Amino acid sequence: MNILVCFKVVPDLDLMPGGDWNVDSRLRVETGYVKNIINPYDESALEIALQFADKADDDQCSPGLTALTIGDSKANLHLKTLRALSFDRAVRIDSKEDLRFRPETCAALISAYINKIGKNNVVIMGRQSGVGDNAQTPLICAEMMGWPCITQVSSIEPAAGACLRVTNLVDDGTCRQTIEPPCILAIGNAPNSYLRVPTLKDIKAHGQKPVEVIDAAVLMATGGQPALPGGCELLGIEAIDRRRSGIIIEGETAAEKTQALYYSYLKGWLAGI
Amino acid sequence: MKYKIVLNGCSSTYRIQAGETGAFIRNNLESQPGDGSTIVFYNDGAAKENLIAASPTTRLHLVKINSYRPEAVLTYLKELEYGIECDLYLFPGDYAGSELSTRFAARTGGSSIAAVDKIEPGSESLTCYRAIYSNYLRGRFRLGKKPFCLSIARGLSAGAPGNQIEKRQVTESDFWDLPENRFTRDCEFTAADPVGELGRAPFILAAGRGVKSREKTEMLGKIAKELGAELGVSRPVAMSAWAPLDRLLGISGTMARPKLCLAAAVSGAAAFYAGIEKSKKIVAINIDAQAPLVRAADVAIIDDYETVLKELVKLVQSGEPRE
Amino acid sequence: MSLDKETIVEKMTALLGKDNVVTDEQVLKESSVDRFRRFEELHGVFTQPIPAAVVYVHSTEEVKAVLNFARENNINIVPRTGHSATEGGLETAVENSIVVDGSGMNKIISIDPYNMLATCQCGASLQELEDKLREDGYTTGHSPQSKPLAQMGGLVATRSIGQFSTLYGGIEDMVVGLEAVFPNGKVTRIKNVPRRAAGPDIRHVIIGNEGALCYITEVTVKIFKFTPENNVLLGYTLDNMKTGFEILREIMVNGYRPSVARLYDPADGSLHFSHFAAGKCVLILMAEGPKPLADATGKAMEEIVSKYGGCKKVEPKYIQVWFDNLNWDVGKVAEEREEIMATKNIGNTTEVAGTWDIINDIYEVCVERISSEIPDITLIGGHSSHSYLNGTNMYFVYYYNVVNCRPEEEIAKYHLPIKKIIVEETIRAGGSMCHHHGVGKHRTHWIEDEYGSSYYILETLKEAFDPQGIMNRGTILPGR
Repeated sequence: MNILVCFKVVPDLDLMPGGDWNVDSRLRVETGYVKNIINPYDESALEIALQFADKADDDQCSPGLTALTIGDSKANLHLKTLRALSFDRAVRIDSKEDLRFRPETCAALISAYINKIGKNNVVIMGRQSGVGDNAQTPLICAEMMGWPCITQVSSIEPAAGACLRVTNLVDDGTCRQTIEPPCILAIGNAPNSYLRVPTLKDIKAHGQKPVEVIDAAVLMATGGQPALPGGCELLGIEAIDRRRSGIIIEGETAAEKTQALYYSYLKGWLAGI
Repeated sequence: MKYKIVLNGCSSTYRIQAGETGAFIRNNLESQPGDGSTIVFYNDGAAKENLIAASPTTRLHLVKINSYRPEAVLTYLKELEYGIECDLYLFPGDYAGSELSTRFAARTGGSSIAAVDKIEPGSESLTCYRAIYSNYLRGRFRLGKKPFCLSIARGLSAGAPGNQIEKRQVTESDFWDLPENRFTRDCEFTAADPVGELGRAPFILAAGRGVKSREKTEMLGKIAKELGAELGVSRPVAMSAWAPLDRLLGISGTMARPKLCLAAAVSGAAAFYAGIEKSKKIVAINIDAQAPLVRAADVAIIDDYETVLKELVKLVQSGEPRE
Repeated sequence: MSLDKETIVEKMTALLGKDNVVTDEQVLKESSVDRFRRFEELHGVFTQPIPAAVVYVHSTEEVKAVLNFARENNINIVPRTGHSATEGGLETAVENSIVVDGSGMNKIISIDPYNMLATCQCGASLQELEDKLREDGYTTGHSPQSKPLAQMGGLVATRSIGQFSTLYGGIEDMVVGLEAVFPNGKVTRIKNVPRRAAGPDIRHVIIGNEGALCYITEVTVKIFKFTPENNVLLGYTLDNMKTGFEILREIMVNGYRPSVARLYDPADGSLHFSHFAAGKCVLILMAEGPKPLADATGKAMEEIVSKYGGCKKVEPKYIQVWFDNLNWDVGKVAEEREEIMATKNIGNTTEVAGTWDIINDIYEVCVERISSEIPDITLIGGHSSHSYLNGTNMYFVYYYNVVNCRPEEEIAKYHLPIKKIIVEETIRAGGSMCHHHGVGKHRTHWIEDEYGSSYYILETLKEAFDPQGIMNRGTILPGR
């Protein structure tokens, strides 16, 4: 089994100072001041892949693991960490394009990588990623590859006959199914899937190996399947105002405040329920 | 604008899908009655007359299938719609809907966008609005290529059945005996309540990561019961498995619309807030007056949530019994 | 022998009322530890003797009554307020201890802007006091990372320090007067005066006593004008710590008083600054105060830094956004807990101080030894965050994966061996093994080495004020 895990490095938007959303004339939003993180769904995808490899290792059929991202050099740090965490390959498709709302381009690059270089047969990635929030890349990728796609996946385990045992949510329940690759698995909510941390020793042993950098234009020019027409163009960005009256209840003690809350507001509201 | 609504009649969420897509059309399109129709995929489990009765449009096409697998549905849908001119395919905001809209556009050469909360039709294009930047911002997009394939934002409307339609025009197809997909070896399905206690609850006690621990989360579950509320949690709480996933509020969980929501120790990340913003009233209980949720609440108490809630239980229980 | 648990609870209930005596098992367990043992705690493993009760006191009189009872019956007392201690100071080392929680004594008694004083009870929250002061244009000048959690009594008892200390000083520079109850039942008040020369400064018997000599019930601190609009924030990236220490020294010895003077090494910096300073050291300086002073200090510091090669200026907004997210509120504590549980990766810290001539050596030798001697280390680094005329501190930050060991073995396998390296190397070089977290219960093995011949004074204080040894046994001095 040859697994490709795709991830995206995004700014930790919950750290953005309240109300400080500056949109420039090219509809870019300044987020460079906050720390970058691996998109949480992708972080789950990476950890789930590692857990899968741990389990498959016990069955003596260890899969190949590749971590892939698209973007500029800010992702290199994370790729090095992933190398140290025993991903066999850490790949960055170098692109300076604004891909925030271009899931079809991302999918085309991923597909081109699989077809031309990686020859992977299982692709795991988060279902959605902050900033663009398109929630479309794994689906378009599946269409381009002609592969099935399971969404809202929360766990993946090895199964007999080079198959995968996949748990995923559907609208009215949970499926546990055995899947034969090739397939694309889009990770949804997966509890307890924080990415593990490499030791300094791991970093010394594996983390120094170079990150593979592939130029996006070159990758596409040398035989990539052209991106499906997206036809979705960003016209504008607006802030969402969520303020309500925000009345702060005064009082000496917690009990006093609670009583004030109850008699002035809650009692009436509760009566309406 | 000619539109078609695509619904999953195999799911127990059918009425919700029908309600929310119907409401979306009513709120966004000044359409003539003849413009739209509904395609409903269903199987043995569903009662046809109920599917027909809840249909959001007068015209509907019932398609009998074996089971609702996206791969199969896409194939059938493409076959059904081959050569038919349609401007807009509208899918519900659930998992299946957002998945199908994207993949169907890819197959038909149309353009797609997921989780749309509003549209404005133009002559050859469609303007769509949806949340971006983890729900902190909202983007305006233009879709240029027909057919436009949209899924709507989750929790956008209550999903109540729409206006009464007197007479339905029903057509039918049958793909029932077509073979299943080949990649799935076996599949066990465990049904769950699709709306969940949280989706229905008129009163929610929402707990954020500030509750500190699994034990405290369990204690809050008890307090919720004593208050007559349902417990909901933010993503960090659910991701650390302090509470089951069906208690998760926000864009990755339940989009609730209670009459009252008490948010205890919730900082108020936008992705969480989306799950409670349809609450009629929001009360924040937070030790930090600077927490974003304080401004996004109707009233707030700045204090320790545990002390406040315990006091509140006393007050509620000593008050007149609720009907 | 002291009383059994039931009798203690009964007597405490008679003294304080049922609502103020907590015997819930989970609460008692959680009250047997502080953040030092949070890995065990997270796993529901409690290795320390469980206290007989946690009692909530609401007045000095009640504190006095509890201490009298403890003395008469030889019961160990652990004073506590915000419960954010990190060095084991709140561990109940003795069976059937009483944890005396002063968080209910949370009143801000007075704010006196004419004499620039604020007086509050021991359980007053620093955050609340600070917020209240800022509304009126004042500040305590005290801003430890634990500000959202910590309370005034605990801050004074542990000789806390804040992020603006290089200008405002540590808590010892802020305390004007205080009230404390000693184990013999004596309530002592030290009045609020601008200075005195009437013998030794006995405030320092109380400040930093870590609950091992007395129970602090009331604190008066200085307040300062709060003029954030004048702040000048400067950030730089640089290649090595040695240069950074030299810059800090030059700023200090030339008489400048930045409020913030922080220097991060690349490893510690990777936790905060990877988005703009990957692989680099980061130097952060802030000048505050009246505008002419802040401007002049800022300008002078810029000039000093510009003399050193390899320092690259960073847009202040990077630093500001980081700074705004620095403090540890309950949410961050919770998030950390989840991550530890999921990844078995835990971070701890040890803070030391030394004069300018030794600090870089301490830094280098500790990082080298820890990364080579300790297994499963995932990060070792640190920062200097409080500078003085004579030297600076070093705050070591280290993370490790807990591998192949039970939760209760984590401390012995990882944390203590790391602490040992840092403490021993610091003392050998002539520095102090504790900069601002207090001694707690896990650096007591080295307390004699820390003090040398002056240990006599410390020991005598303990014997004089707590002859029975009922005050927080095993804290500062090894338990007898």
